Amino acid sequence: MVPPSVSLPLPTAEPTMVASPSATPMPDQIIFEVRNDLGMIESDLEKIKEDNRLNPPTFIFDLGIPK
Amino acid sequence: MNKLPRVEFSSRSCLTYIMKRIFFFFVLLCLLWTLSTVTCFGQNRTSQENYQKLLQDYREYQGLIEPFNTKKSRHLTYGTVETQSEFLEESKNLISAEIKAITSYTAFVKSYLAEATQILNYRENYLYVKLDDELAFLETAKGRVESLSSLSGAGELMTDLATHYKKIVKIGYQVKAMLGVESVKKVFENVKVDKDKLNNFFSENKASSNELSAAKEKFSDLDKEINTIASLISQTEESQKKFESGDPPGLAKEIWGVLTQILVKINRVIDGYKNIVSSLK
Repeated sequence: MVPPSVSLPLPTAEPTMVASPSATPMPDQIIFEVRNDLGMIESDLEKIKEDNRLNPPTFIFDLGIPK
Repeated sequence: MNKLPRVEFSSRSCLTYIMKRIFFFFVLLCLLWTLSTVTCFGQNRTSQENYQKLLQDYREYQGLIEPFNTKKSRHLTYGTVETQSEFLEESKNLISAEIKAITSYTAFVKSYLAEATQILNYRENYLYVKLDDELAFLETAKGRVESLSSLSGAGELMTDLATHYKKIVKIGYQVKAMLGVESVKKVFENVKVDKDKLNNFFSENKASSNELSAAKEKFSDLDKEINTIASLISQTEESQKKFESGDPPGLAKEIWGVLTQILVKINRVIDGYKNIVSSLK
């Protein structure tokens, strides 16, 4: 019976430094995001205006003669 | 010589052919009917196009008021068969133009609602259903004008029109108020997202400096404004519920008054947040 060959350990690469993703964004990133958001909110706000075109026109609903 | 294949026309294949033709004709009719309905109710027009049509139709209607009043005066003065007939004819013209303009206004409100709700993700459809009911009534009313043969009949039709127009007016003001409230709510939700982001920033940033302390204090002051805005928004939502029983123009005015206050406050919060953000650079 042939004994199972025992492989030599494979050369392992040195672990590279990978920054793990942060659970929360960096403070600078938050500030950047908020600044951008505020710009967009301001532009949305400018669009909110009372539209008087929706006010209904007036009409006559009476012939104006004695019944 | 090779014989050509014989084509047999059985009565069955002939019947199938006719049936296919009838089916095709029926589908074509349905399509034409749908197209005419869509065009008639102005559903394929943008709100801007519908508004232009409303202006045009309303101008046309206004142009008929003077001839209507002239014929009415003549009829009230002379009271002859001739003046009555002339006045009836002028009344019919006026009512026709009135129905046309009201239809344009209703179509405008509907298209405006449709365009706005795409942006606001407004999912209620009861206003569309109500507007469709009114458009259907107006379509029937058009036919009634043609068959009018007396002034009393014209008066009755006007009374019916008044009842339905009251409903349409209510929807118009309701749409005006509702879209304002929904737009403000959407913007406010975005402001609250930024509020949470800044809140996270302050809770994570433990460094101490005069700027940071001042920024935290300002942020906390603006929180009070945020609470006031939330309460004003609730107020507008409560006012919206009164449309079924209240005075629509008054309610729309009241709601827009509050919305204007909210917009001022949101702008103040945004300016405050911008100030905080620039101080934290």
